[in-house]
Parts: sequence; structure tokens; C-alpha cells
Amino acid sequence: MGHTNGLAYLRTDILPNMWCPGCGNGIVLSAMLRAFEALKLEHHEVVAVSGIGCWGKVDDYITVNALHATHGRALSFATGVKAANPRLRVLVLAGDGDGTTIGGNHLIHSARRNMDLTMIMVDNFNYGMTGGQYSATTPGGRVTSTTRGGNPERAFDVCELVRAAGGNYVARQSIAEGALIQKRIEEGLSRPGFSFIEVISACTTLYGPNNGLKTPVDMFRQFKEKCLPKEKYDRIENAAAKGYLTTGVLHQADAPDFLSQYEAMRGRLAAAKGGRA
Amino acid sequence: MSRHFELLLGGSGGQGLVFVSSFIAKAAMADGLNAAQTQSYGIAQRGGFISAEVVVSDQEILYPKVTRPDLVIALHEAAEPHFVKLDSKVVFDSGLMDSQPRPGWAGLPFTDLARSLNCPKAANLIAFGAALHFAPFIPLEAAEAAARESFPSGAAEINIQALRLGRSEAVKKFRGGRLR
Amino acid sequence: MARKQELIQGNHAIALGAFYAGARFYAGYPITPSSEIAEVCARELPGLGGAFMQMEDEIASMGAIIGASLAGVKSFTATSGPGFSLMQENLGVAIMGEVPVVVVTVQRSGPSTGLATKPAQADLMQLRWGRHGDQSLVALIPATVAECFELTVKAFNLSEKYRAPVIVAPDEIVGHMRENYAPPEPGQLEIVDRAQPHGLIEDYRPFNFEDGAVAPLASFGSPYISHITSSMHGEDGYSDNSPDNAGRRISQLHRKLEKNIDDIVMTRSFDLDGCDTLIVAVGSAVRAARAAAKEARQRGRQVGVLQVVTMWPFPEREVRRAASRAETVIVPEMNYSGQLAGEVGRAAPGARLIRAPSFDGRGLTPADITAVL
Repeated sequence: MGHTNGLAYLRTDILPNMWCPGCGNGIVLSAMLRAFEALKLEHHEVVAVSGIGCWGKVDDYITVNALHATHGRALSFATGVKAANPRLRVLVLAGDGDGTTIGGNHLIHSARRNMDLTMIMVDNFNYGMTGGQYSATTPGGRVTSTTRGGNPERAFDVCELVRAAGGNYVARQSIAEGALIQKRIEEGLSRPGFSFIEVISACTTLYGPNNGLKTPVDMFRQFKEKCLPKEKYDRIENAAAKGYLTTGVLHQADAPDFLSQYEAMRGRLAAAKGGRA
Repeated sequence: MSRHFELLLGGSGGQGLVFVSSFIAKAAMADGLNAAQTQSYGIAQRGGFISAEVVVSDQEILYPKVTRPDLVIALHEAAEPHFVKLDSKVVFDSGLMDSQPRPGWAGLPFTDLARSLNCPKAANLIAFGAALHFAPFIPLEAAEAAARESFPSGAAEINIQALRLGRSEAVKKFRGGRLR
Repeated sequence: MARKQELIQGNHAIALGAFYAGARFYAGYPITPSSEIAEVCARELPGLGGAFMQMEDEIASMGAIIGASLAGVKSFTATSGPGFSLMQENLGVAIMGEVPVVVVTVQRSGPSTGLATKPAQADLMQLRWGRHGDQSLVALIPATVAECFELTVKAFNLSEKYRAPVIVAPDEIVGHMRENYAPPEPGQLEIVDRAQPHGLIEDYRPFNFEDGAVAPLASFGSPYISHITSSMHGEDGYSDNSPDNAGRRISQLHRKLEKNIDDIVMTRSFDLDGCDTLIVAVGSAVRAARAAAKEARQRGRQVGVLQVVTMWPFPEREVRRAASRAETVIVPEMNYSGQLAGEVGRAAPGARLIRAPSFDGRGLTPADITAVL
């Protein structure tokens, strides 16, 4: 069967989408739909849970089941969906403000619980939909609409955070690597437990121009220069301080996920009950 | 004549007031009565004043809390200031409470008696057994039936012993001291 | 043969009522005075083939039960005022997305942490107006352990029937008290399940904005594809921000409850015939009111009690009718601000209202009411 770029999962009659020209969301959407196709997912077995923000509007463009929830809380809705029907493939689609800033508590606990979800966090380093304010991933010193003098706060390394909290799969790619994004999504969907894929993306209307990157092409060039696989990244001195990011699969583990642990507990409870009777 | 009885219990967190008040309600149910049990406590898991209330009746219980206690059980000195103003018979733990003699107050060393059974936690049931001497609002047999139904057989036996010990000690010390 | 009487706590009865109604998923966060509900669920749901989850906060708890309900499992949570505050935003998702869920909030004394173990009825307005936006929901308030069980079953039924969140809001006294009660046999009480779609898969729409309509709700994982969103949407669940659509959407959310008001609004009457003094009460105050009324009748007074069972939508018609025959309407309630009295006054503008408030964490006693009789 020849591939069709995941078109079967795209809602075409609502296009064009709402995103700005040059925005990275389209690349991530396309990678996700191609991953669905590569994994031969049936529409009705997939639930995409999105939060609020530019990337959170993605539910309008897909034809699988969708739940568009509240800002920061997509993970908790997704947790309920998965717990109620473990056969479903549940994705969580949130941006950096949504997924790690207001939603940071749910992120660490979803990773700790090792809930079998695949989260695709599009990181554009600011709140796009509300006008370009700084988020928990905006690097220190960067200019946003609420850090005109340069960001006095530091950024999270969200991948490191999810790894430390206990997620089974952590990967990062930039939008300059569409085929790899697709691969990571396939890997995340295929691995039980909590999978987290950070996609470094371009806000070409706000964050880029605010920080000297006037065009989408400028942003792309920078991602190609600064987002490096680990072996290249490790050869650069003070790479993090110079704004470099590691890409690729950053962490993989096979810890049992929440639902398998819950089934084990159910068995223990039943055995205890049976033993007493 | 309708049967209606209101029992107020006071003590300190950890003494099993919710347990014993619930048990009293079950004992009344074993005698065919309606029962309502409520409690009032603070934020501590252990210590502090706790009260529990039981209302039993052969009619529908409209208000589930005690308005005029027919009998009061005090298990700890923390309860004393709350109960001194009450115009009710008070059965108290004379081993834990250094209470001065008051009219209507009858002390028995419930906790010491419970230790003699090798079951210090049973002090509250001993107090209930004693209470049934002062106010036999249900027969002891109903309480024993409730114990058999509520606990596994070993625990039921020790709890029944506690109930009987409480009543017999009360009979011994306060023969004829029944309420009303 | 009558079922065996058991001594059951109000909170416990709520959990049992939820299981009876078919609830198989609970997500919550511990808070006094509701935690017993979580504990019963944690103990019993695994054996019922369901799941209990203790979430990181009440926000996540509310999200999780909405997600689980959309996956086809009847779901609920339990909390108290402070946690209910945190649930408000996601409760809005259940309203906007028309997701059946039941939320139990056992009312305690506030504001804020307040008297965490003491009773109050000061969240009556929070139940109704806690969320932003132009919305409405159903809230039921039990006064007995039996009602804790039976109103929880009713709450699930209403939520499934009208695809709306339903709140059960006992005060601490009712949640924590134990009474003898014989839970009903399976089949004894009606159980309602949400309507399922039957037509062609491509024709399925998760919403229906016709006046007062309620669309069938496909579960995630069924052959039907479902789009549920907190944003303004069309009947297909995709964005539609046109004024025409927004107007129809908002009015349907209200109309589905308004058109079925007789099915939703419940009151109980005690000795209303010929009474010249009416007491309107809710929750544990009903118990004090009935005791005070009985005592007054023994003294020759004509006193009746109207119990507000469905707090929201408020039983305006029933209150107006009862108040029209009384010279005096007494409203005992466990708050300073007169949250119930305000609604009674709105429903019966001509009534001579006397308030009997209690807000010190002690609860209302019959004597508090007798004092104003």
C-alpha cells in the first residue's frame, strides 16, 4: 500500500488552518498523521486530547476522536480516557505554555505514574495565542511581550524533567526534521508507558521577530545550527549556555505503566479477598 | 409508649469514640430500633476533644443529633469541661479522670478494667456495658448480638466479655443506681 | 421481604449509590469531610471491574472523570468546598461538552481552609455560579443517609439523561452521620444510561442544538467518531464561532434543563396542609426543621416543612405555591449571607420571611428554629 501522507486523518474541508505562515504546527501535524498511517491506526481507536493554545487547536484538523480541554489540563483528561478504556491510543497535544508551564504539575505526575500516553509538546518558547508572553521554556535573556528587558527567569529542560519524573520515552526533534518527528511519534505510540516528544518549533510572528529572527527561514536556519544529535552536541564546549539543544531519543525505559501496575494490584486485592472467604 | 434515647459520648482522639458510638447504634438496631450516629472532631488524628452522639428510637429520627442527653459517657478529662454543665447522668473513666465527686457522676476505671482483659482498646465497650446498667435502653443481649454480627468470632468474644465486665462492675459498685 | 438494615455513613451511602447506578471510575484528591467516599471507591472499585485513581489535585480529578466518561464509563469524584473551587474550570468543560459526570461536594465551613471538619451550607451559590460563562447545572442536596444513596443514583440518571454534570452536595453532618438503611436490591431503582447513536457512522453528530434536544453520546472507541470540545463548536464538535451557531449552542445548554424541569426538580413536603407557618430548608437543616415543627405542632401550632431537594435549578414554583398559603416563611440555613433565603424571597416575593442562620460550625438545632417560631 502506497502512503498518502496521512491524508485520511486530515480534515480538509476546514482548511486553511488558523496558524501563521511559517508556523511549525503544520509540520508536526503532518508528521503525526503520517505516523498514524504508518502504524495503520484505525480512526476510532485513537483519541487526541488537546489543551489550549496554537497547537491545542489541532483538534479541528483531524478526523480521529478528539477532546479539546482546558489550558494545561489535557494530560488529566487523557489519563481518564486511557484508564477507562486501555485499548485506546491516547495522544496529548499541548504547547510549552500549556503543557509545562500551567500544566507542569500534571506533566510530572503523568510521567511519575508512567501513564500510557504519548504527548507531543510543540515548544515555540512563548505563548503565541495570547500575544507572545514568556513561558517556562523561554530561555533566560530572551525578549517576549512580558520580558521586554530580557527574560529574568530560566527555562526548563522539559525532556530532562520528564526523564527524571519517570517517563518511559523522551525524545526531542526540531521542525527542521519532519521525517524524524514522524519516527519519534511512531516510537512513542509503540512504547507502553509515558512517552514525551518535544518538538522545537518556530513562532514566526512573535518569538522569532522579537529575538532577531525576522523570517521563518531565519528560524529554520537557527534550528539546523543549534539542534544537534548528542554526539555532535557533546563536542561543543558549554553547549547549553550557547543555546544548543540535544535531539534524538534522549531516554528509553521499560518500567511497567500505571495500568499494568493497577491490574497487578487488582489481582492482589482479589487474592486477599479469596483467601479470607 | 415510644422508645427514644439520646446518648452523648466524649473523649480524646484515638479512644475509639466513632467506633463505639457506631457500635451502640448497631446494638440498638439489633433490638429493632432506628439509630443515628454523629460525631464532632477537630483536625488532629490523635488527641483533642472528640464527641460522638447516638440517638435511637422506635420512631423516625427527625433530628439526628442529641438535644437532651439521657446519658453521657466521658472517657477522658478532655471531655470534662464540656460535660460539667449538663443535667444528665455521667458515666466516666475514673482511672483517667481525676474528677471530683459530682451528683449524678458515676466513675469506673474502664481503661484499667480493659487492661485486665488484655485489651486496652476495649475500654469504650466496657463503658457501654456499664452504661447499660445505668440506662438499660436496650438489653445487653442486643449488644451481644451486634458484637457477634459485627466482628470476627475471636474479636466478638473479647468484646462481649468487655460489655459484660462493664455492666457487672457497674452493678457491683452502683447497685440500684439506675437512671429513673 | 424487606432488606436487612445496615448502619451506613452518608458518605459511604453515596459511594454505594454510585456503584448501584453503574459508576465504575472515580478520580479524586483527599479532602475532609469527603475522604471516606474515596476510600470506599479505592477498596471496592477494583473488585467491580472499575478503577479508582488518586490524582495530583482536584483539577486533574475533574479532568480525569470527564475523560473516563467520554470513554463510556460512568464516572464521579468527591471533594469539599476548597477542592470544588479548583474543579470549576473543568466542570465548565463538562457543561460545554455535555459530558455526564457526577461531582460530590461535602460542604464544610469556610471561607478558604476555614473550619475544615465543621459543617456549613455556605456553598449553595458556589454550586450554581462557581463557573464562568452563561451556564446552568443540576445540584441535589440530601438530608438523610437514605437520600445520600438514592439521590446519588438520581444524580447519575439525570446526568446520563441530559448529558450534564450533576452535583450532590450534602453538608458535613449528613456526609458523616450514620443511620440505619437498607440499600435497595438491584433492579429496585431505575437506572438510566446515556443514549447511544444508531445511524450511519458518517452521519453521527455528537451534539444536537434543536430546542431542548440531547444528542446520543458515542463512547471513544466505539465505531462512531466523537469530537468533544470546550471551545464554541457546531453540532459536529468542530469550531464554529458564528453568532448564529453560538446563540443556538448556548440556548440549548439551558433549554435542555428548562424543558425537563419537572423531571429534575424535587422537593419533599412535611405537614404542609393547612399550615400557617412554612419552614423551607435544605440538607441537615431539614432535620432540625422537622423536629422543631413537630414540637410546635404538639403545642398546637400549624407548622409545615418544605425540603428543597433539587437546589438547582431552584424549585421556584414549589416554593411559591407553598409560601402562598403561609403567613410566615422561616428559612433556617447554615450560612450568614442567606443564600437559601435569597432564593426563597425571589421565588415568593410577597412572603414574610424570617431567617434563622447558623454559621459558627455548630450546625442548626431545633432550638435555633423554635426561637423564631
